[in-house]
Amino acid sequence: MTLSEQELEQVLTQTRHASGPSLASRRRVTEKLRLHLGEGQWPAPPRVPSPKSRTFGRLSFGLGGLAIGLAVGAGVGVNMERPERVLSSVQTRSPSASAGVEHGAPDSRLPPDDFKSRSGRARPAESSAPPAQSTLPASATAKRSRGTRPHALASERSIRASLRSSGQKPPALADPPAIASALPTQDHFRQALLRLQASQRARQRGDAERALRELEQLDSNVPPSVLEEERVMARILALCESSDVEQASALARRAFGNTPRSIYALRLRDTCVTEAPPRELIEEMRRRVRK
Amino acid sequence: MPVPHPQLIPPDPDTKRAPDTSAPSTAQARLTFVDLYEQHFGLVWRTLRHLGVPASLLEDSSQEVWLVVHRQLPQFAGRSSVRTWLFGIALNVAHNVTRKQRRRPAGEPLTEEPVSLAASAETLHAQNEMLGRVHQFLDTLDEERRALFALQLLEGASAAETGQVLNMPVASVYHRVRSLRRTFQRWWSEHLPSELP
Repeated sequence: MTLSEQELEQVLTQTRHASGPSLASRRRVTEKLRLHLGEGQWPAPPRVPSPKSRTFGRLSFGLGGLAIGLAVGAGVGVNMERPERVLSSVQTRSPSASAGVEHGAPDSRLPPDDFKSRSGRARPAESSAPPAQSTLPASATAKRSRGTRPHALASERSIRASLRSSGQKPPALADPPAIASALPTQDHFRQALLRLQASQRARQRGDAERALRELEQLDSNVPPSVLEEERVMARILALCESSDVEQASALARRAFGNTPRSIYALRLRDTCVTEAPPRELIEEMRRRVRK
Repeated sequence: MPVPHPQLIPPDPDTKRAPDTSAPSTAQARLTFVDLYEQHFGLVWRTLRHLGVPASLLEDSSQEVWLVVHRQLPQFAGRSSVRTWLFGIALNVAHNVTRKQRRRPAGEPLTEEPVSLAASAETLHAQNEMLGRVHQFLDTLDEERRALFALQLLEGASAAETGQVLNMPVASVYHRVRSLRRTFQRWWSEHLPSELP
């Protein structure tokens, strides 16, 4: 049976769609070029467009809330509920290595080999350093799995206290104009975790406006390369919480449509995002093969 | 000098057949490297990939393309569209990479895994299969026909753009693309039923 013209077009479209770069690849190339060409070549990286501030009360998106927790927790190898543990595990890494943590963990839906292939090129930081979670004692892992709110608050307090005692600037005092082109530091990573955590909590309370405001703060204080995909994903979920499906879908399409290898592409299924690639062709293929 | 604010994320690949706003014009003079990079990063990446650059070399090759773009941008006079220009650079870089690969074939243990927006694991697998299959077909083509397929059919370049990049009359582009489509359709139907799981 010959491929019809319409099927051919679909195959070509799907192929084009599936062969785009991931956000991680794009960021790595950008970083290399930035280093090679100098900072002057690059303007301040743009921010994800601000959503309209709308609050629609306590709309519960349980799956959405779970998604970001899983996304940033399981998918990324970073536990937002216990950031201080994660931070202690990345203490010895360089800023670039800590940035690499963002995409270092396998998607729990896929077998380990899939993760290896998705990561594209092996990065020394990933291959040589032990996984962040491996530094935790078994009891800590067990506790973490319970993921209770008091833990989260305690960890946040402890981080804020450590920031104060070490004389570092609190997140809100960072200089926004310098942020965009600054190389990420461990402090940025710490701030990003706190903001993401705060945004997640606000969203779980149904306060979408606050969740979005936290992400705005994050954008103005932390370089965009730090937990980049997590930030986009958190914003999508916050937009879903505010019932702004249109903006959430547009953002998802822009962020992950062209970077379809992102580990978050899968998780978008559990959100309000309505954009989806045509699956008819694949279903049709399957039917034909089964016949 | 203030630099125009670029887009965060490149345009959706599905907009490929939209009118080419990068056609030569006076606006060409205002092009900045960052504009080009933000708007066409995906295009360059996909083109390199379709032209046979191994997954493990895509980042380096992409970087190389953009370094050339950066170097040559001041000399870019706008006689061709930006896309044509980028296609040409990508073609040269891919040619060099694949030639070196042929001389010194390296293992290719890591592959890029295509994953679709909101797709299930099954769908991802099917997409991966499809991409692999199309690339399998591309591997059977010579360099010129592969470039023709990649530019015209996969990236939606116009016949004029393709002709300019490949130094080929437009009529020949149409003729060869028609022939390529038929070849691909035949190849697909011959290989699909027996090999898909």
